[in-house]
Amino acid sequence: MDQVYTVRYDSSTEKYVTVEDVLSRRLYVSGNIIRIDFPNEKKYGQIKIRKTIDGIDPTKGAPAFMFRVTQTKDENGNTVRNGPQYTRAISYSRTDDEFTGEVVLSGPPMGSYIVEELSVLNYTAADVNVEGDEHPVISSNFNVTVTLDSDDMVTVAFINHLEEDPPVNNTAFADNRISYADSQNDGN
Amino acid sequence: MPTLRTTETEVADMKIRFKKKDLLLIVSALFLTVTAYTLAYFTGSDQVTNRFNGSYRPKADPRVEINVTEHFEPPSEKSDDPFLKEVRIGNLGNVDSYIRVRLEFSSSDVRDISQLSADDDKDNESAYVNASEFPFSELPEGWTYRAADGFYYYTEAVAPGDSTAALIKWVKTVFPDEGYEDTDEFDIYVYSEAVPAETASGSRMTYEEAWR
Repeated sequence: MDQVYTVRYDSSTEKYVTVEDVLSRRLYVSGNIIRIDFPNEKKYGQIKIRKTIDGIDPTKGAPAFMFRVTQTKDENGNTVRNGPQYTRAISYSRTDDEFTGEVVLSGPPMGSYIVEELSVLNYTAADVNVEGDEHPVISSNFNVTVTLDSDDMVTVAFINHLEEDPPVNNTAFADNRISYADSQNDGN
Repeated sequence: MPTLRTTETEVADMKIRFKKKDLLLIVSALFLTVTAYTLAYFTGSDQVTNRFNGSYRPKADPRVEINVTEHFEPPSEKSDDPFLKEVRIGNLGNVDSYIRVRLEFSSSDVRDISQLSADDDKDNESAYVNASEFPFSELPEGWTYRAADGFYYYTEAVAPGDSTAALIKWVKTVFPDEGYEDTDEFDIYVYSEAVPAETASGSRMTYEEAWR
């Protein structure tokens, strides 16, 4: 989808300035208005994943939950094969008394996505709710399809129950982040 | 009195036969006793052997506890050079345990331009496998992948104080000239689970049985 933008040529800087950067009144007063068509930039959405549990058994390790977000349709509703896939995680410490955690996936292109909670020991998927999308497709308590059609946040909330007296087991989790932000900022 | 003589002879013969019979009975009884004792001896030996070979007294208070070892040296800038990201799982509990791991990149875009190696030599180019194909490649000894649940399984029981072999050691992300300008960070998640290698009664299981 393309969109028409109005820009003004600034002779002092010898650059075009978009209407977002100047007052439209001044554009018309100057009498030096040029219309140019620019391809519209791709729009992106946001998905917030919220996890709520009802307890932590410290003998089983620090709980951690992983979520896979897979694009299934593009912004025009066309099926996407091998579309982008994102993974996010929400983890707790053994001593947490706050049982709700959130993570935001910023920047997925418009379209439809399956948001899936990956299985873990000691917790059962009890419920899932969606906010910000009026027509989600909830396949199960750990699998839901949502559609992003604006940059408004869509929230998928998973609720899990701590199993009573599960077999002896333990879990561990590590999130290793590779960040280039500092080096890129240094270069600017 | 031929008949009487005959009868006396027969009685004498019978006595001899009885003596032979007694002797045979005694020998048979001795043979049976020795055989039974020998059988009992070997049967007892088998049970002892079994006890040493595969059956252990279960821990009164089995404790399964694991950790993800942290050998991680992230790069500070975009580079084709490999960086250290060694994934091993340690057994901190008091019983032998089976371990499985889920290893995920935060973005398939970054995963698809990344390569993984479990080789000791980070410069061994032939050891690198594209991260998206890594699960289906020849994994390090002891590891196998199940596509059904997305876990890497360590097929050997890990003893207390020991750890798995490294699943990966090096990560190399090769950014193309265009298309990844906005990628300023990504994550590699390692989630691991462990269960005892023995049943509550002390019988050793295979890793498939333990995760069933």
